Amino acid sequence: MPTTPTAADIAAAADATTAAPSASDTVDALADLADLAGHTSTLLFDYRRNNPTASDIAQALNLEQTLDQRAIDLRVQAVKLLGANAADALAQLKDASQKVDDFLTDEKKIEGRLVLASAVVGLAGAALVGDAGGILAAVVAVHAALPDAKV
Amino acid sequence: MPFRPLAAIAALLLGGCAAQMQPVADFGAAANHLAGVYKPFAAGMGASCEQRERYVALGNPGPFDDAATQRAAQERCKPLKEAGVTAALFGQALADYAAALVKVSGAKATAFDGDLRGLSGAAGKLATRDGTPLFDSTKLAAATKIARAAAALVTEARLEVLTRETLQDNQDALKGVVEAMQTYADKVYAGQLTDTHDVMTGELDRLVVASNAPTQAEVESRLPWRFAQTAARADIAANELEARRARAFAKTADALLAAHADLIANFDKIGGARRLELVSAFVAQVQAINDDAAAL
Repeated sequence: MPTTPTAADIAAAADATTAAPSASDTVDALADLADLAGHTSTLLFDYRRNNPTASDIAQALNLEQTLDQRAIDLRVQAVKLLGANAADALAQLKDASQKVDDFLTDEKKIEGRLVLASAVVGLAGAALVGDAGGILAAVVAVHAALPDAKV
Repeated sequence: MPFRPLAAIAALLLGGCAAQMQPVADFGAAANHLAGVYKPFAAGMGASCEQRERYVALGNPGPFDDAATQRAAQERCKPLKEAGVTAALFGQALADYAAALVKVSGAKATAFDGDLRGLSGAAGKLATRDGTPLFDSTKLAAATKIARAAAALVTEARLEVLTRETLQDNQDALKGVVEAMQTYADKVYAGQLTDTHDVMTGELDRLVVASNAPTQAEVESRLPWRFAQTAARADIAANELEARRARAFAKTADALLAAHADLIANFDKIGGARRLELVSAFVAQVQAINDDAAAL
């Protein structure tokens, strides 16, 4: 006939399996261990609340708090490992964003030169649509654009 | 009129290029949306831990001081709050990348407006000594349109090269960051939410039992437990909604990565319907999460 597990019984297995993980543990494994510790802690909490006169209440509370802390530690470790694993990717995305910003800043800086370039292209346009006098006038426009380009 | 075909060509050139970059802008906006959905998750883990600690403290023997309980919960969950700062970095990196894509896809629209106004202004002021304008307005308009089209093509070519390189170079980095966000949301944060949920539902069950009044005379003494059920149910509902958001996040993040890969594969295809469909589907999924949140 099966006996009702005591607080110590409930915690024993979880305590053993949620011991400090090795460096090779993955984030998923750490998260799973945290879940196990948290779940066992909740079982002990319910045991305490539903069996207020049990003889091992104090022990249950002690184990519950130990497992609570272990769940927190494991989740913190999981996030730290996530951050370490993604550090290169984070740096690369940041670099890419900076590269785009730098490019657009440079575009602004050469805006003056583009004014001149546009005027030159305008000259070609004048040649297409205008007469000889128009082309001559467009040459003047290029010179007129030069001061703007230096601003 | 001899000028209309030229103007039409210029408009076609400008319009065609703008359309090609539109999916990049749409993708950037969608990625930004995803980063916004993720943001509360980073701080949420510490908050959920504190909530669990408070519920547990309610069931402990000895004196009970709510303010002291809150302080103790904050102290115990402090490491998780600090870990949330690391978790927030993933969302920030995604948001920065998304903003960069939006910027690079939309910058061409304004890059030359000032130049062309400058050109028009300078040329329009040119006049002979007797005051006759050298350029009549029609010729100037036609020349300006050609200039605009040609200059915009040069800039857009540069922007498109940058955009294509940005997308290609960062596909793996984006995958790494988004997968870290998924793992955090779906495994670590969801696990904490489940722990908190289980403690709260256990307490609610006990409140229901404690609320039982076999006789009318006993009802009065059971009212505190009966009223307390409402607050517990609200806490549980909020917890369950957050868990749904964390799970939905994983799916939408998958859609985002697929859309990014598709943008790269189809970058040269103007009007690539598939990538637009993917991005649209992604935005719809994010919207569904927000609808859930609005229902709170």
